[in-house]
Amino acid sequence: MKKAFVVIGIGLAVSLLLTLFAGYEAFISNGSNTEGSPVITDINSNGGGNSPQTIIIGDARGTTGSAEIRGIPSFEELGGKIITKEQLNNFLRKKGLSIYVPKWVPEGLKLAAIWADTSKGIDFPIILVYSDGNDTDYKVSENKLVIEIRGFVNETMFEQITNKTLFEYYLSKGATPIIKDGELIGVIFDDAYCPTCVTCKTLPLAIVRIDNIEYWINYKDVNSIIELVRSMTQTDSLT
Amino acid sequence: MTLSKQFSKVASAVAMIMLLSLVIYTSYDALAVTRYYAGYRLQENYFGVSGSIYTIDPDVTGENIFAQWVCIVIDPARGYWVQIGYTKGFDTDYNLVFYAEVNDNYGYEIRFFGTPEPGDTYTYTIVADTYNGTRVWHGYIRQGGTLLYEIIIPADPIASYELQAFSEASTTDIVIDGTHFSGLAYYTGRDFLYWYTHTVYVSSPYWIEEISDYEFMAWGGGSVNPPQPLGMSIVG
Repeated sequence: MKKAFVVIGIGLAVSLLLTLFAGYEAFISNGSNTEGSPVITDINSNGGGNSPQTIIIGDARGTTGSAEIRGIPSFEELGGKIITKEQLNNFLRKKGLSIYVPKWVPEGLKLAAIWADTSKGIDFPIILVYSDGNDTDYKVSENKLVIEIRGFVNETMFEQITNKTLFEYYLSKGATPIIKDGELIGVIFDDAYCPTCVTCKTLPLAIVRIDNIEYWINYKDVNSIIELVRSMTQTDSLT
Repeated sequence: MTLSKQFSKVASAVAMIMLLSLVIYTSYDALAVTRYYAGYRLQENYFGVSGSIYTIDPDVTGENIFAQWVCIVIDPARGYWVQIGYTKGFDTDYNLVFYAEVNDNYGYEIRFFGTPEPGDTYTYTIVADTYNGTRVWHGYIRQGGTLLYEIIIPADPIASYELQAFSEASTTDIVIDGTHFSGLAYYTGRDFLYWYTHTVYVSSPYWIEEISDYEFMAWGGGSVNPPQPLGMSIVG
């Protein structure tokens, strides 16, 4: 009989844990938490008339890691695939393009995969994944270096709006400059939200422009990013 | 068999069922991120998107969601985007609501507001802008000539990878018949112009009819798929 009570006790404990877990999930999903919370604002109001309602979403947002409720189709769903060096080189040759790749990367990292948008033939973004060799996923995370070559920059309208370049604006907001040969070629956001990271909420993000092509560089150490950007050299054929 | 032994066996069975429930719950949670889409992409890095979306009101039950939206994809590798549209789901108490959602350097947020009327068409717009000296994504929801909502979203970084306009569902049980996106436009920095090209992305069992580069209809879902009409595409 005693044994039966012990088993029931374990069952009830599991049940309680399950209920608490489900409740926590529902709590997170319904956004009653303070971080990343979906807030139902005046759900029955319809604004309307000549006085539109203004909704302001602040910059102190949640960093809950995987909180997306609506979201977008993933890169691979839309045609993102791993390609070979040869395919990349053919793409560059066909387009008459050169890209810049680092001569130096942090110790222990090597080029593990090259991703590209293949929905209409190979095209930007080209994503270079450097890891210990096992991790070939294009998604940014804390254990690898991800260099996303996004293609040509389209920034004219921002300069029209603000009379500033985007880099000048980012620097005024506290970004770290990347200077190469006396020229401002990029900025680093030290604490950029990293929804695809596992053990941390933020990861440095560098935005670099060379020959009007934009590179987004994701790595855990700002000094290493600066060093590898300074080592970037032009190539029209990856070896 | 003694009573206590019988009781012990029943209790063990109850405990096993509870443990099994935990396993199933965990698996369900992993599956819960599945999404089904029907819509258009414009694979260019413009800094503004606009589109008119006819409001449908499908049945949504359980831990599911339905949404129709326009979006600027900021970055695919980090999973950054900003989108505006309307939705219905477990987290809106199964009411139709407008929403704005963003995921960028600043973090993630979704905000629900207002009540779209089924059968009405609203125009959803997102454009890069400045607001009190800060770079923002400026959202607008209009009905005809009336501006209903203005949405201010601080943006960091300001960047664009591509534009999207999609119907989204978390289960194929959701019927999206009547879906109609029109007037899809991109921002040149001065004007909004109609999309001049597009790429279709549709998850089975949904269907899409491409009317033009800037207009499409979609349907499907539920237990029975509708007959295949002319001029549709299936991708994915």
